[in-house]
Amino acid sequence: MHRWRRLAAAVVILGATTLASGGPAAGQVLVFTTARGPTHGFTISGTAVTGLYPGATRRIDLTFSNPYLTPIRVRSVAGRLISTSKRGCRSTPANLEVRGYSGRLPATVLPRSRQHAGHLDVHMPNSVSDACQNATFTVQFTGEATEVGR
Amino acid sequence: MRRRAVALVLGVGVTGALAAGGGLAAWANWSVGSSVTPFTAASARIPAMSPARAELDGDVPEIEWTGVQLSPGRPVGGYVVTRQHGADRAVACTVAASVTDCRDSAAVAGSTVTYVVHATVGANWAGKDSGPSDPVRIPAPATLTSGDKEPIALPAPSPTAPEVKQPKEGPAPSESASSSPSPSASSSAADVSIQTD
Repeated sequence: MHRWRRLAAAVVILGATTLASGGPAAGQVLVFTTARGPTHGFTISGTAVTGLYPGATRRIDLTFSNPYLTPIRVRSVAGRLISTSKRGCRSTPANLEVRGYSGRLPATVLPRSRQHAGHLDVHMPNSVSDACQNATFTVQFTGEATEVGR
Repeated sequence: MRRRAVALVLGVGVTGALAAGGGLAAWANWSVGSSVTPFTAASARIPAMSPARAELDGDVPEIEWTGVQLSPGRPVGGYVVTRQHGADRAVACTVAASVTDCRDSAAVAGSTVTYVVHATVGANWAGKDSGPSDPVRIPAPATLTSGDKEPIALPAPSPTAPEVKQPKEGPAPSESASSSPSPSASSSAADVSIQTD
């Protein structure tokens, strides 16, 4: 409820902005920013991955969560490596590749529900740095969704 | 005139309706980005190894160790055995993961050495060295005399020439490092050949 209230506040702010600028085009990506903090929206979560080693590929099964009162259609999903826990282990594809999303898109997610989706693969190249032993890699998922037309 | 006025009204009406409809259509659908969802993936670490075991097999040190795995069913890539002689360190053997022993024919006769071993995975991952083996003293070169002739010293094995491990039950005499040193052996030091058991 609290989240929905924030969304409502965000929509009001967004509405004021877009009214001033002439209104949004259909399908435009709207970034909800409130005074409280950063963007929020539907969420993408993944299964845990452990035991990566040189040459290994691991699958991250994804789940979409729709917090809204209307169905949404997820149109794109991507992941990227943003940091690691070890100083000498740089967050580059030479140490960990985050591969493209595999799964059916667009995917419809019902209101206030979670839905299993496709997957992303992460691959640790054979050339991964020795400093990346026992490291934790942080991967960020991003995606875009639109409200399903009524 | 009346017809023109009607046409004008209709045109304005249609245009207005389209404009309003377009605006409504724009508002009827919204798009949203996902929350920024961090996710973590953890890598493995090459496990520590127990100290290597070294003993003489004839005049040549033989080193054995207990293999390790990254995880159950997931072998490491290989092993590197390092000879330590005082502060000097040199690679004695590099072997595949399926091999857990090797012979170091390049150890200098008359020296006392220890061995450590570590596992490797991929191009760059290396585990920590195991603890050192018990010291092994390599026998000094034997000196033979023959009647009143000058002493004949048998040269020590080439310090860089590796030796192919021979089956204990039937070593080939021609392969003995102490009886047939080859000056050219050191030039082929990179071609380390280790026989698996």
